[in-house]
Amino acid sequence: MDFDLNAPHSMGTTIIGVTYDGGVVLGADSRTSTGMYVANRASDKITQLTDNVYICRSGSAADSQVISDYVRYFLHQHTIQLGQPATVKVAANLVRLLSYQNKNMLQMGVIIGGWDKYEGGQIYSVPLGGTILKQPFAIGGGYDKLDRSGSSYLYGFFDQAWKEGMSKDEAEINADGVTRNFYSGDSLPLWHEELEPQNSLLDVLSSSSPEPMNT
Amino acid sequence: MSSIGTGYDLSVTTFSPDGRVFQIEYAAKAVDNSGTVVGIKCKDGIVLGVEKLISSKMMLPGSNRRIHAVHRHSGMAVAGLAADGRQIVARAKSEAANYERVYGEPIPVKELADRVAGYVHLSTLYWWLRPFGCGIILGGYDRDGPQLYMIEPSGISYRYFGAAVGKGRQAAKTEIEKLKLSEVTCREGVIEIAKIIYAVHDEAKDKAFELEMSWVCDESNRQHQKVPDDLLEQAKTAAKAALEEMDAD
Repeated sequence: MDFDLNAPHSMGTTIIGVTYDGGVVLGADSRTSTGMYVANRASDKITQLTDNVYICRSGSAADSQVISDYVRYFLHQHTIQLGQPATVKVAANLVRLLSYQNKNMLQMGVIIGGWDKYEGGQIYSVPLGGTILKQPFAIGGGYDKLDRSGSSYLYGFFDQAWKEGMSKDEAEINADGVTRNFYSGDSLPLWHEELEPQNSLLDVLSSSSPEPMNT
Repeated sequence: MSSIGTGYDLSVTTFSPDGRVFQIEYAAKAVDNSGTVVGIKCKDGIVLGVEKLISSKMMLPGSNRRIHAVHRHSGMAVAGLAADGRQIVARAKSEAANYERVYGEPIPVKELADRVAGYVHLSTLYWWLRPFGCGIILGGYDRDGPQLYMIEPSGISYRYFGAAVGKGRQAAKTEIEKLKLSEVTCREGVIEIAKIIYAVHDEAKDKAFELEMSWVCDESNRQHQKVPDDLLEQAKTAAKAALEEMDAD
Protein backbone atom coordinates (compact mmCIF):
# COMPACT_ATOMS: atom_id res chain seq x y z
CA MET A 1 0.00 0.00 0.00
CA ASP A 2 1.37 3.39 -0.88
CA PHE A 3 1.32 6.00 1.79
CA ASP A 4 1.16 9.54 0.56
CA LEU A 5 3.87 10.88 2.82
CA ASN A 6 3.60 14.32 1.31
CA ALA A 7 -0.02 14.78 2.24
CA PRO A 8 -0.47 17.73 4.61
CA HIS A 9 -0.47 16.81 8.25
CA SER A 10 -3.94 17.00 9.65
CA MET A 11 -5.60 15.88 12.75
CA GLY A 12 -8.60 13.56 12.53
CA THR A 13 -9.30 14.96 15.83
CA THR A 14 -11.72 14.78 18.65
CA ILE A 15 -11.74 17.82 20.93
CA ILE A 16 -14.02 18.64 23.82
CA GLY A 17 -14.61 21.57 26.14
CA VAL A 18 -16.94 21.48 29.13
CA THR A 19 -17.87 24.21 31.61
CA TYR A 20 -18.50 23.45 35.24
CA ASP A 21 -19.00 25.61 38.26
CA GLY A 22 -15.58 27.15 38.81
CA GLY A 23 -14.05 26.79 35.36
CA VAL A 24 -13.67 24.62 32.30
CA VAL A 25 -12.27 21.18 31.42
CA LEU A 26 -10.68 20.71 28.01
CA GLY A 27 -9.90 17.41 26.33
CA ALA A 28 -8.32 16.24 23.09
CA ASP A 29 -6.91 13.10 21.51
CA SER A 30 -3.28 13.02 20.49
CA ARG A 31 -3.10 11.69 16.93
CA THR A 32 -1.72 13.71 14.04
CA SER A 33 -1.84 11.98 10.67
CA THR A 34 -0.35 12.51 7.21
CA GLY A 35 -2.84 10.77 5.04
CA MET A 36 -2.99 7.21 6.44
CA TYR A 37 0.25 7.46 8.36
CA VAL A 38 0.24 8.53 11.97
CA ALA A 39 2.86 11.25 12.01
CA ASN A 40 2.65 11.97 15.71
CA ARG A 41 0.85 9.85 18.25
CA ALA A 42 1.62 12.15 21.13
CA SER A 43 0.67 15.59 19.95
CA ASP A 44 -0.60 18.26 22.31
CA LYS A 45 -3.66 19.74 20.69
CA ILE A 46 -4.46 21.93 23.65
CA THR A 47 -2.45 25.11 23.33
CA GLN A 48 -2.11 28.02 25.70
CA LEU A 49 -3.14 31.51 24.58
CA THR A 50 -2.87 33.29 27.94
CA ASP A 51 -2.59 32.31 31.60
CA ASN A 52 -6.33 31.89 31.73
CA VAL A 53 -7.35 30.90 28.17
CA TYR A 54 -6.51 27.74 26.20
CA ILE A 55 -7.46 26.55 22.71
CA CYS A 56 -8.21 23.02 21.45
CA ARG A 57 -7.08 22.75 17.84
CA SER A 58 -8.36 20.56 15.01
CA GLY A 59 -8.15 20.55 11.22
CA SER A 60 -4.93 21.59 9.56
CA ALA A 61 -2.16 21.49 12.15
CA ALA A 62 -0.26 24.31 10.48
CA ASP A 63 -3.26 26.60 10.18
CA SER A 64 -4.39 26.16 13.77
CA GLN A 65 -0.86 26.62 15.09
CA VAL A 66 -0.27 29.82 13.16
CA ILE A 67 -3.63 31.29 14.16
CA SER A 68 -2.91 30.39 17.79
CA ASP A 69 0.45 32.15 17.53
CA TYR A 70 -1.10 35.33 16.12
CA VAL A 71 -3.84 35.39 18.74
CA ARG A 72 -1.36 34.79 21.55
CA TYR A 73 0.65 37.77 20.30
CA PHE A 74 -2.40 40.05 20.04
CA LEU A 75 -3.67 38.97 23.45
CA HIS A 76 -0.30 39.70 24.99
CA GLN A 77 -0.38 43.25 23.67
CA HIS A 78 -4.00 43.65 24.70
CA THR A 79 -3.17 42.53 28.25
CA ILE A 80 -0.37 45.07 28.48
CA GLN A 81 -2.63 47.85 27.23
CA LEU A 82 -5.56 46.89 29.45
CA GLY A 83 -3.49 46.29 32.56
CA GLN A 84 -5.40 43.14 33.45
CA PRO A 85 -5.92 39.62 32.01
CA ALA A 86 -7.88 39.39 28.77
CA THR A 87 -11.34 37.86 28.91
CA VAL A 88 -12.19 34.55 27.24
CA LYS A 89 -14.63 36.36 24.96
CA VAL A 90 -11.91 38.63 23.62
CA ALA A 91 -9.63 35.66 22.91
CA ALA A 92 -12.41 33.83 21.10
CA ASN A 93 -13.34 36.91 19.09
CA LEU A 94 -9.76 37.40 17.88
CA VAL A 95 -9.65 33.77 16.75
CA ARG A 96 -12.89 34.04 14.85
CA LEU A 97 -11.97 37.32 13.13
CA LEU A 98 -8.84 35.68 11.73
CA SER A 99 -10.75 32.52 10.89
CA TYR A 100 -13.59 34.32 9.12
CA GLN A 101 -11.51 36.88 7.26
CA ASN A 102 -9.21 34.16 5.91
CA LYS A 103 -11.80 31.47 5.41
CA ASN A 104 -10.70 30.83 1.82
CA MET A 105 -7.24 29.82 2.93
CA LEU A 106 -7.77 28.15 6.28
CA GLN A 107 -9.09 24.78 7.28
CA MET A 108 -9.48 24.60 11.04
CA GLY A 109 -12.04 24.23 13.76
CA VAL A 110 -11.21 25.11 17.32
CA ILE A 111 -12.65 25.27 20.79
CA ILE A 112 -11.56 28.11 23.06
CA GLY A 113 -11.93 27.58 26.78
CA GLY A 114 -10.90 29.60 29.79
CA TRP A 115 -11.82 31.52 32.91
CA ASP A 116 -12.09 35.22 33.68
CA LYS A 117 -13.29 37.13 36.71
CA TYR A 118 -16.35 38.63 35.00
CA GLU A 119 -18.10 35.63 33.47
CA GLY A 120 -16.29 32.69 35.06
CA GLY A 121 -15.63 29.56 32.99
CA GLN A 122 -16.64 29.84 29.32
CA ILE A 123 -16.40 27.70 26.19
CA TYR A 124 -16.52 29.16 22.67
CA SER A 125 -16.66 27.09 19.51
CA VAL A 126 -15.13 28.45 16.27
CA PRO A 127 -15.75 25.86 13.53
CA LEU A 128 -14.76 25.86 9.86
CA GLY A 129 -16.42 29.00 8.45
CA GLY A 130 -15.49 31.30 11.29
CA THR A 131 -18.73 31.46 13.26
CA ILE A 132 -18.42 31.99 16.97
CA LEU A 133 -20.73 30.16 19.30
CA LYS A 134 -20.74 30.33 23.08
CA GLN A 135 -21.81 27.01 24.55
CA PRO A 136 -21.93 25.33 27.95
CA PHE A 137 -20.05 22.43 26.33
CA ALA A 138 -18.61 21.89 22.86
CA ILE A 139 -17.35 18.96 20.82
CA GLY A 140 -15.59 19.07 17.52
CA GLY A 141 -12.91 17.96 15.20
CA GLY A 142 -12.66 15.65 12.25
CA TYR A 143 -12.06 18.03 9.37
CA ASP A 144 -9.96 15.56 7.46
CA LYS A 145 -11.49 13.58 4.60
CA LEU A 146 -9.82 10.29 5.46
CA ASP A 147 -9.93 10.31 9.19
CA ARG A 148 -13.26 11.03 10.74
CA SER A 149 -13.16 12.12 14.33
CA GLY A 150 -14.96 10.44 17.12
CA SER A 151 -16.91 13.57 17.81
CA SER A 152 -20.08 12.44 16.10
CA TYR A 153 -20.47 9.63 18.59
CA LEU A 154 -20.15 12.11 21.39
CA TYR A 155 -23.34 13.98 20.64
CA GLY A 156 -25.31 10.98 21.79
CA PHE A 157 -23.22 10.56 24.91
CA PHE A 158 -23.43 14.23 25.90
CA ASP A 159 -27.15 14.35 25.33
CA GLN A 160 -27.48 11.77 28.01
CA ALA A 161 -24.62 12.65 30.34
CA TRP A 162 -24.23 16.44 30.43
CA LYS A 163 -26.13 18.63 32.82
CA GLU A 164 -25.86 22.18 34.13
CA GLY A 165 -23.75 23.06 37.14
CA MET A 166 -21.54 19.98 37.35
CA SER A 167 -18.63 19.67 39.70
CA LYS A 168 -15.11 19.35 38.36
CA ASP A 169 -15.00 15.57 38.73
CA GLU A 170 -18.27 15.11 36.91
CA ALA A 171 -17.02 17.41 34.13
CA GLU A 172 -13.83 15.39 33.79
CA ILE A 173 -15.69 12.17 33.29
CA ASN A 174 -17.42 13.83 30.39
CA ALA A 175 -14.19 14.91 28.77
CA ASP A 176 -12.24 11.80 29.65
CA GLY A 177 -14.23 8.57 29.47
CA VAL A 178 -15.46 9.17 25.98
CA THR A 179 -12.17 9.90 24.27
CA ARG A 180 -10.75 6.63 25.46
CA ASN A 181 -13.73 4.56 24.43
CA PHE A 182 -14.01 5.74 20.90
CA TYR A 183 -10.40 5.85 19.90
CA SER A 184 -8.86 2.44 19.54
CA GLY A 185 -5.45 2.35 17.91
CA ASP A 186 -3.65 4.95 19.93
CA SER A 187 -4.86 4.21 23.41
CA LEU A 188 -2.76 6.59 25.40
CA PRO A 189 -3.54 6.80 29.08
CA LEU A 190 -5.21 10.09 29.68
CA TRP A 191 -2.61 12.67 30.45
CA HIS A 192 -4.26 14.87 32.98
CA GLU A 193 -2.78 17.86 34.63
CA GLU A 194 -4.22 20.80 36.46
CA LEU A 195 -2.15 23.67 35.24
CA GLU A 196 -0.96 26.53 37.36
CA PRO A 197 -0.71 29.81 35.55
CA GLN A 198 2.82 30.24 34.30
CA ASN A 199 4.87 32.47 32.10
CA SER A 200 6.34 29.88 29.83
CA LEU A 201 5.52 26.36 28.78
CA LEU A 202 9.21 25.59 29.26
CA ASP A 203 8.45 25.60 32.97
CA VAL A 204 5.98 22.81 32.37
CA LEU A 205 8.64 20.63 30.77
CA SER A 206 11.00 20.96 33.67
CA SER A 207 8.31 20.08 36.20
CA SER A 208 7.10 16.52 36.79
CA SER A 209 6.47 14.69 33.51
CA PRO A 210 3.64 12.21 32.92
CA GLU A 211 4.08 8.44 32.82
CA PRO A 212 5.69 7.01 29.70
CA MET A 213 3.23 5.95 27.05
CA ASN A 214 2.35 2.35 26.36
CA THR A 215 2.94 0.98 22.88
CA MET B 1 -2.37 88.93 35.14
CA SER B 2 -0.68 85.83 33.83
CA SER B 3 2.90 85.80 32.63
CA ILE B 4 3.43 86.28 28.90
CA GLY B 5 5.72 83.92 27.04
CA THR B 6 7.62 86.55 25.08
CA GLY B 7 9.10 84.50 22.33
CA TYR B 8 8.70 81.04 23.85
CA ASP B 9 5.01 80.90 23.19
CA LEU B 10 4.93 80.96 19.42
CA SER B 11 4.95 77.21 18.90
CA VAL B 12 3.71 74.20 20.76
CA THR B 13 7.06 72.53 20.14
CA THR B 14 8.97 75.11 22.15
CA PHE B 15 9.73 74.87 25.86
CA SER B 16 10.28 78.02 27.89
CA PRO B 17 13.40 78.28 30.05
CA ASP B 18 11.38 77.34 33.11
CA GLY B 19 10.08 74.20 31.47
CA ARG B 20 6.61 75.28 30.41
CA VAL B 21 4.89 74.88 27.07
CA PHE B 22 2.95 78.09 26.76
CA GLN B 23 0.75 77.08 23.87
CA ILE B 24 -0.75 74.31 25.97
CA GLU B 25 -1.35 76.75 28.82
CA TYR B 26 -3.06 79.15 26.44
CA ALA B 27 -5.24 76.30 25.21
CA ALA B 28 -6.27 75.70 28.80
CA LYS B 29 -7.30 79.36 29.02
CA ALA B 30 -9.81 78.73 26.24
CA VAL B 31 -11.34 76.07 28.45
CA ASP B 32 -11.32 78.31 31.50
CA ASN B 33 -13.35 80.94 29.72
CA SER B 34 -16.17 78.64 28.71
CA GLY B 35 -19.34 77.66 30.52
CA THR B 36 -18.94 75.38 33.54
CA VAL B 37 -19.04 71.63 33.04
CA VAL B 38 -19.39 69.30 36.04
CA GLY B 39 -19.27 65.57 36.55
CA ILE B 40 -19.69 63.38 39.63
CA LYS B 41 -19.44 59.68 40.36
CA CYS B 42 -22.31 58.64 42.61
CA LYS B 43 -22.64 55.27 44.22
CA ASP B 44 -24.73 53.84 41.38
CA GLY B 45 -23.49 55.79 38.37
CA ILE B 46 -22.26 59.04 36.84
CA VAL B 47 -24.01 62.40 36.39
CA LEU B 48 -22.75 65.05 33.94
CA GLY B 49 -24.01 68.64 33.86
CA VAL B 50 -23.27 71.60 31.59
CA GLU B 51 -23.95 75.32 31.98
CA LYS B 52 -24.68 76.05 28.33
CA LEU B 53 -24.34 79.81 27.86
CA ILE B 54 -26.86 81.15 25.38
CA SER B 55 -25.32 83.72 23.08
CA SER B 56 -28.50 84.68 21.26
CA LYS B 57 -32.22 84.67 22.02
CA MET B 58 -32.74 83.22 18.57
CA MET B 59 -31.14 79.90 19.54
CA LEU B 60 -33.50 76.96 19.73
CA PRO B 61 -33.54 75.41 23.19
CA GLY B 62 -32.05 71.95 23.11
CA SER B 63 -29.76 72.67 20.18
CA ASN B 64 -25.97 72.89 20.30
CA ARG B 65 -25.71 69.94 22.63
CA ARG B 66 -22.61 69.92 24.77
CA ILE B 67 -22.99 66.38 26.09
CA HIS B 68 -22.42 63.60 23.59
CA ALA B 69 -22.94 59.85 23.79
CA VAL B 70 -19.77 58.07 22.84
CA HIS B 71 -21.06 54.54 23.20
CA ARG B 72 -24.04 52.86 24.79
CA HIS B 73 -22.31 52.91 28.14
CA SER B 74 -20.49 56.24 28.11
CA GLY B 75 -20.86 59.95 27.45
CA MET B 76 -18.67 63.01 27.16
CA ALA B 77 -19.28 66.61 28.23
CA VAL B 78 -17.07 69.17 26.52
CA ALA B 79 -15.96 72.61 27.72
CA GLY B 80 -14.09 75.08 25.53
CA LEU B 81 -14.05 75.36 21.76
CA ALA B 82 -17.13 73.50 20.56
CA ALA B 83 -15.76 72.66 17.14
CA ASP B 84 -12.62 71.12 18.66
CA GLY B 85 -14.89 69.19 20.97
CA ARG B 86 -16.86 67.72 18.07
CA GLN B 87 -13.65 66.38 16.57
CA ILE B 88 -12.68 64.66 19.80
CA VAL B 89 -16.13 63.15 20.24
CA ALA B 90 -16.02 61.80 16.69
CA ARG B 91 -12.66 60.20 17.40
CA ALA B 92 -13.88 58.72 20.67
CA LYS B 93 -16.93 57.19 18.94
CA SER B 94 -14.66 55.75 16.30
CA GLU B 95 -12.29 54.25 18.88
CA ALA B 96 -15.18 52.70 20.77
CA ALA B 97 -16.67 51.16 17.63
CA ASN B 98 -13.33 49.87 16.45
CA TYR B 99 -12.52 48.28 19.80
CA GLU B 100 -15.82 46.44 19.87
CA ARG B 101 -15.34 45.17 16.33
CA VAL B 102 -11.91 43.73 17.08
CA TYR B 103 -12.31 42.52 20.67
CA GLY B 104 -15.99 41.65 20.73
CA GLU B 105 -16.85 43.54 23.89
CA PRO B 106 -17.66 47.19 24.73
CA ILE B 107 -14.58 49.32 25.28
CA PRO B 108 -13.65 49.59 28.96
CA VAL B 109 -13.99 53.22 30.10
CA LYS B 110 -10.36 53.31 31.23
CA GLU B 111 -9.22 52.25 27.78
CA LEU B 112 -11.46 54.85 26.12
CA ALA B 113 -10.07 57.58 28.35
CA ASP B 114 -6.52 56.50 27.50
CA ARG B 115 -7.24 56.64 23.79
CA VAL B 116 -8.90 60.06 23.94
CA ALA B 117 -6.05 61.39 26.06
CA GLY B 118 -3.54 59.99 23.59
CA TYR B 119 -5.34 61.69 20.72
CA VAL B 120 -5.49 65.04 22.54
CA HIS B 121 -1.82 64.72 23.43
CA LEU B 122 -0.91 64.03 19.82
CA SER B 123 -1.78 67.55 18.80
CA THR B 124 0.72 68.93 21.33
CA LEU B 125 3.64 67.20 19.65
CA TYR B 126 3.74 68.78 16.20
CA TRP B 127 4.28 72.39 15.24
CA TRP B 128 1.83 72.20 12.37
CA LEU B 129 -1.02 71.27 14.70
CA ARG B 130 -2.50 73.32 17.48
CA PRO B 131 -3.64 71.83 20.77
CA PHE B 132 -7.33 71.14 21.25
CA GLY B 133 -8.96 73.96 23.21
CA CYS B 134 -11.22 71.59 25.13
CA GLY B 135 -11.58 70.15 28.58
CA ILE B 136 -13.44 66.87 28.49
CA ILE B 137 -15.29 65.09 31.25
CA LEU B 138 -15.90 61.47 30.29
CA GLY B 139 -18.26 59.30 32.29
CA GLY B 140 -19.04 55.67 31.70
CA TYR B 141 -20.35 52.50 33.33
CA ASP B 142 -18.65 49.23 32.45
CA ARG B 143 -17.98 45.86 34.08
CA ASP B 144 -15.75 47.49 36.66
CA GLY B 145 -18.46 49.91 37.74
CA PRO B 146 -19.05 53.62 37.06
CA GLN B 147 -15.97 55.68 36.27
CA LEU B 148 -15.31 59.39 35.67
CA TYR B 149 -12.30 60.75 33.79
CA MET B 150 -11.20 64.27 32.92
CA ILE B 151 -8.96 64.99 29.96
CA GLU B 152 -7.16 68.34 29.71
CA PRO B 153 -5.76 70.05 26.58
CA SER B 154 -2.29 68.86 27.56
CA GLY B 155 -3.42 65.27 27.17
CA ILE B 156 -3.38 64.54 30.90
CA SER B 157 -6.14 62.23 32.00
CA TYR B 158 -7.03 61.36 35.56
CA ARG B 159 -9.82 59.42 37.16
CA TYR B 160 -12.01 61.43 39.52
CA PHE B 161 -14.84 61.21 42.02
CA GLY B 162 -15.89 64.71 41.02
CA ALA B 163 -14.57 67.09 38.38
CA ALA B 164 -15.32 70.56 37.04
CA VAL B 165 -13.95 72.69 34.20
CA GLY B 166 -14.80 76.12 32.86
CA LYS B 167 -15.59 79.47 34.42
CA GLY B 168 -17.10 78.38 37.68
CA ARG B 169 -14.85 75.39 38.32
CA GLN B 170 -13.35 76.64 41.58
CA ALA B 171 -16.71 77.27 43.18
CA ALA B 172 -18.11 74.06 41.68
CA LYS B 173 -15.26 71.95 43.05
CA THR B 174 -15.79 73.41 46.51
CA GLU B 175 -19.46 72.47 46.36
CA ILE B 176 -18.72 68.96 45.08
CA GLU B 177 -16.26 68.35 47.89
CA LYS B 178 -19.04 69.03 50.36
CA LEU B 179 -21.08 66.14 48.97
CA LYS B 180 -20.66 62.62 50.34
CA LEU B 181 -20.53 61.00 46.93
CA SER B 182 -20.27 57.43 48.16
CA GLU B 183 -23.73 57.77 49.68
CA VAL B 184 -25.43 59.85 47.00
CA THR B 185 -27.54 58.07 44.37
CA CYS B 186 -27.71 59.39 40.82
CA ARG B 187 -31.24 60.67 41.36
CA GLU B 188 -30.00 62.81 44.22
CA GLY B 189 -26.86 63.64 42.26
CA VAL B 190 -28.89 65.17 39.45
CA ILE B 191 -30.52 67.59 41.90
CA GLU B 192 -27.15 68.45 43.46
CA ILE B 193 -25.49 69.12 40.12
CA ALA B 194 -28.35 71.38 39.06
CA LYS B 195 -27.99 73.33 42.30
CA ILE B 196 -24.24 73.67 41.76
CA ILE B 197 -24.56 74.91 38.21
CA TYR B 198 -27.22 77.43 39.09
CA ALA B 199 -25.10 78.57 42.01
CA VAL B 200 -21.90 79.13 40.05
CA HIS B 201 -23.62 80.85 37.16
CA ASP B 202 -22.66 84.50 37.14
CA GLU B 203 -25.83 86.50 36.50
CA ALA B 204 -23.96 89.73 35.95
CA LYS B 205 -21.48 88.58 33.36
CA ASP B 206 -23.53 86.06 31.37
CA LYS B 207 -27.23 86.63 31.01
CA ALA B 208 -28.93 83.43 30.06
CA PHE B 209 -27.96 79.80 30.19
CA GLU B 210 -29.52 76.44 29.56
CA LEU B 211 -28.91 73.50 31.86
CA GLU B 212 -28.00 70.28 30.08
CA MET B 213 -27.62 67.04 32.06
CA SER B 214 -27.04 63.39 31.41
CA TRP B 215 -26.44 60.26 33.42
CA VAL B 216 -25.30 56.61 33.24
CA CYS B 217 -26.56 54.61 36.16
CA ASP B 218 -28.35 51.50 37.31
CA GLU B 219 -31.65 53.31 36.86
CA SER B 220 -30.88 54.07 33.22
CA ASN B 221 -29.94 50.44 32.75
CA ARG B 222 -26.27 51.37 32.50
CA GLN B 223 -26.96 53.25 29.27
CA HIS B 224 -25.86 56.84 28.79
CA GLN B 225 -28.89 59.06 28.25
CA LYS B 226 -30.30 62.51 28.83
CA VAL B 227 -31.72 62.92 32.30
CA PRO B 228 -35.49 62.30 31.95
CA ASP B 229 -37.48 65.52 31.50
CA ASP B 230 -39.50 65.23 34.69
CA LEU B 231 -36.40 64.73 36.82
CA LEU B 232 -34.69 67.60 35.00
CA GLU B 233 -37.60 69.91 35.76
CA GLN B 234 -37.57 68.77 39.35
CA ALA B 235 -33.86 69.52 39.55
CA LYS B 236 -34.23 72.98 38.03
CA THR B 237 -37.00 73.88 40.46
CA ALA B 238 -34.95 72.70 43.42
CA ALA B 239 -31.93 74.63 42.15
CA LYS B 240 -33.85 77.88 41.71
CA ALA B 241 -35.36 77.47 45.15
CA ALA B 242 -31.94 76.92 46.69
CA LEU B 243 -30.66 80.07 44.96
CA GLU B 244 -33.44 82.16 46.39
CA GLU B 245 -32.74 80.83 49.83
CA MET B 246 -29.15 81.94 49.46
CA ASP B 247 -30.19 85.38 48.24
CA ALA B 248 -32.70 85.76 51.01
CA ASP B 249 -30.02 85.93 53.70
